[in-house]
Amino acid sequence: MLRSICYDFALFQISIYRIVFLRSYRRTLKGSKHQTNSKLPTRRSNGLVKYLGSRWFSTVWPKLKPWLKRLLITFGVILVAAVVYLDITIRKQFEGGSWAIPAHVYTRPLDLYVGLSIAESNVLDELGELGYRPQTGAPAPGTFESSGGGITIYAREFQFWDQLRLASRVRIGFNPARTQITSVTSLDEKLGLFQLEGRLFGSVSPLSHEDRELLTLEQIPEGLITALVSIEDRNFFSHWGISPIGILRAAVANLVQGRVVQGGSTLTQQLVKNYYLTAERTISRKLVELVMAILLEFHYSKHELLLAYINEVYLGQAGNRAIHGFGLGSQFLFGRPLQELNAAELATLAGMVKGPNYYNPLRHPERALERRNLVLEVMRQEGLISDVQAGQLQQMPLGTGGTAARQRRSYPDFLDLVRQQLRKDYQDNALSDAGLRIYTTLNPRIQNSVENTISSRLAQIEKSRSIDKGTLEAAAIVLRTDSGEVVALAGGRDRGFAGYNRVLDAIRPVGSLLKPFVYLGALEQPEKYGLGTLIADKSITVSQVGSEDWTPQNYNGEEHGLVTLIDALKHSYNLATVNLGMGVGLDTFSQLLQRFKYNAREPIYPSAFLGAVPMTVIEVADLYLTLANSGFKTPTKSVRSVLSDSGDPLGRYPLSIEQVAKPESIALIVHAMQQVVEDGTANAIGARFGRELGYAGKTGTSDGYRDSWYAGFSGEHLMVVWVGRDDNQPTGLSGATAAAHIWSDTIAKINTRPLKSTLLADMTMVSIDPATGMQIEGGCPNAEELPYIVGYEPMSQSACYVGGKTESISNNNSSGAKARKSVGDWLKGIFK
Amino acid sequence: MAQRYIQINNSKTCGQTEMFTLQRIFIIAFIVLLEACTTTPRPNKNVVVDEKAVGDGQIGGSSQTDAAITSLFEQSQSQVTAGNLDEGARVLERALRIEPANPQTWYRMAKIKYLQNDYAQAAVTASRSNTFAGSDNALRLLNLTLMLDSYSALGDTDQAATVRAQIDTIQQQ
Repeated sequence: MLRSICYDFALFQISIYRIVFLRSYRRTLKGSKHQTNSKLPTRRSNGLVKYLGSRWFSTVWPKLKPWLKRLLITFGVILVAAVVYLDITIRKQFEGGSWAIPAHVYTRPLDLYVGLSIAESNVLDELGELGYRPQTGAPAPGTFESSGGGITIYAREFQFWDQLRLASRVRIGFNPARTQITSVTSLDEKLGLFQLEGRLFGSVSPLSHEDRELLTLEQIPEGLITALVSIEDRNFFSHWGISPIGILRAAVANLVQGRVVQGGSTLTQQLVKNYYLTAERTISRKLVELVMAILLEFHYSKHELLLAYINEVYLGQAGNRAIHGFGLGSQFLFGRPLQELNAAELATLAGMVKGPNYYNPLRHPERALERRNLVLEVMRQEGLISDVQAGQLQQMPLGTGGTAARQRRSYPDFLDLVRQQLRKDYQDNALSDAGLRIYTTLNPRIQNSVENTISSRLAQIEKSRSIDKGTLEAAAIVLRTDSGEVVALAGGRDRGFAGYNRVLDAIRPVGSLLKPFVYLGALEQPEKYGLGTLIADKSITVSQVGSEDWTPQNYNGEEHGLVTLIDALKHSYNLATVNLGMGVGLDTFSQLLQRFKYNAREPIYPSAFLGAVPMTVIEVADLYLTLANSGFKTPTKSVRSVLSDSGDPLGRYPLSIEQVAKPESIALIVHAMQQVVEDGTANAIGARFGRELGYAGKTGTSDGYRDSWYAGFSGEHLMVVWVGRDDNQPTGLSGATAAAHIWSDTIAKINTRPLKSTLLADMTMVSIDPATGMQIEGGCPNAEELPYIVGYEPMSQSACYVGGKTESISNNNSSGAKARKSVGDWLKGIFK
Repeated sequence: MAQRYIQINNSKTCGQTEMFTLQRIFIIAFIVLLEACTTTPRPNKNVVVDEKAVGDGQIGGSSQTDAAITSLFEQSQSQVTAGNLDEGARVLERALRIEPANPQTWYRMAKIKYLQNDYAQAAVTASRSNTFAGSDNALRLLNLTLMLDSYSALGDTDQAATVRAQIDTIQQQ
């Protein structure tokens, strides 16, 4: 700072010397006049005294004169100090590159490779959302051509984590059905795989909510400069910050047109106004603006100023996000980089400067079109474009609809999760003003499916059940089971609305969603429990410390007597679950949840067996992720990597897993959850997809039908859905009648792997008699095949029990022999 | 500008250059040799493709995705050979997104974790590989050997003994 001030004073002194030198030089040139003129001040003062002729003045003036001199000097010093201060201010801010660039957040890149099953239309959708335009021959970056059984893409330059991919052409070949990629070639080279870059969909805004994308001079199209200069400041390249001629010309033009068509401020003044000053309109502010404009011109080249202007200019509002600079403006309005815009689109942007909100092409397309055409007309008048060109350009549409509209899709709910994850590792100011690039796990195709499904399903449920329109809310999250990557998140039914995020913040009782963990607690003791173990679905009263005795009921109010463990979960019997939970022990259950990294907000009571535990959607997802991942815990994540503003790798979130349960125990509970879908409370899902896909899940309904839940997974994705009301009033909806439908509709739209039965090496399928829980021969009509850990199969019986009678199996096959052999193993297991 | 990024968690910084000791070169050479001796089994895939389905179309098409996986294995291997272990792991994560249940990918990941001296992750990742290995006893043995080494390095004798017993059982088969 001190150095800067000293430097400024030095500059100021140089300026003074320069003025003094120039004066004396001129005087030297004028020769003898110099002598004569040098006496002028004395003559003038003498004359003044003589003219006033006042004795009072002649006595007072000599005393006043030094004071006046001091006053003038003081005033001069203050003036100089003010100018110096302004000079310091403008240079410090200008050269410091002090724009707060928020962290920019990108969707996941799309891997395209031979063998990938993906509809060509999906790749075209992805390209559309990235702002790629169809053009014959794909002649330039940002274009593609779909022809001859494939797509030729001229990919843009993109900074990936490991490398800068230069703009390049690639050909993606499809099978005749256009459902699978058969070749990926670049020029003549066969590629293993190719990545389509992610899309910038949001930013982690600073408090000011200013957002911008910085451009370099080389990235600015000539057409933008031409349009901007012609409409805003025709003399920009010749004036020195302020332009009296420009003011006059603008006044004349406005008079002729009868309305304000041109402003008198130069681009430099506008830059000063936007960059350094407030919006107030006072004379002092105007004076400061003029001085600063001149100082800026004194220090910096026209191109430097133009670049600053282009990066600084305000171009409107997107929610609470202020769009600054033509770079982001272009992305936001047209869905493409500035370099890819045509002359008409550049003219639209240039025209917006005068009134970013008034001429916003999204909100006021007619005004924007008129303004754009005026810009083009001015350019025509100045001979910058021909009459024909102007005519053609004026006929073009604004170009802000269609794919550009899809490009503007932002996912504020997902951004909340990104912020939450990054705040653990990065300071707030690094996120809000350092221009970081955040590469996330968001899959826009799946995200859009979730949002559309929620919107249509809730409307349909409200209509069919005569629920007041708009009263239901929903929240959903989809993750990849292998890595815990969150691929979609919807915090409510209003898409794109940044508000209450029900996935992260709504804490609601989860109902039967916790039951699989009660049963898992049992199955982790294979010497005591297997899927065929009988448990009592009978009334039970539980004493709870600090509260009244608790007597749970089944949903239908009935008791079912002795049922197998798998049937109890399949049909979500409350009484059987509580009986089982009490047998397993509350502590064991509580420790299991802790092992799965769930930190309970409140002490766990026996009512927790039936889900009287409030959780967020993401907490449920976190618990279920470990079930879907064979007992291997992996943290949920929304960010893959973070790069600096210049593209340098800063941090990565590598895959990390921890084993919290034995894969065998998990395989048992997952088998039971597959039965829930096939034949239990979520059988509608089973009926829709067929048993071969093997999806697993669990419905959940809280007391009084206030919360409808479904958590389920395929071989690749886990999705958790909640439906309810924000005011916590009953909806009359169970997990199966609302949340499960949203799950099912979404999964039907996304490509996901089936969930294969995961019998591990030390597991075997055993025939069970559900009435006794004992092994029977596979040929018995009531036999049920269930997986068991080898060594823990139940005791066998040699005959079938049908309707209370014993029936011998005539064909004593090998499975029977195996069953008998298992008794010894089973006993061995007990005494281990 | 660069000094403005302040990263709190150093453990996640990239490009951690580590001492490339002679011992490590031997370990890499040993593992590369093991690599050459093993086959690259593919899990059976139950392919169901909905033509209208969206998403990244992650349903692999049996051996048709081999080219992509092979390419990523090669990339990963060359990064490991060059000492860029984290980059080698990152490339494998990409392969896992294509085929999440490929036990070979998990095994390679486990090896990298071992080379990174992250023995706990090495053991658990090898164990994850085994959940997908099915009846491929050769791969199961490789995973168990890696687990044994990892638990030994961690000083976890109980786990090491359990793993050793599993190795014995497979070898007796």
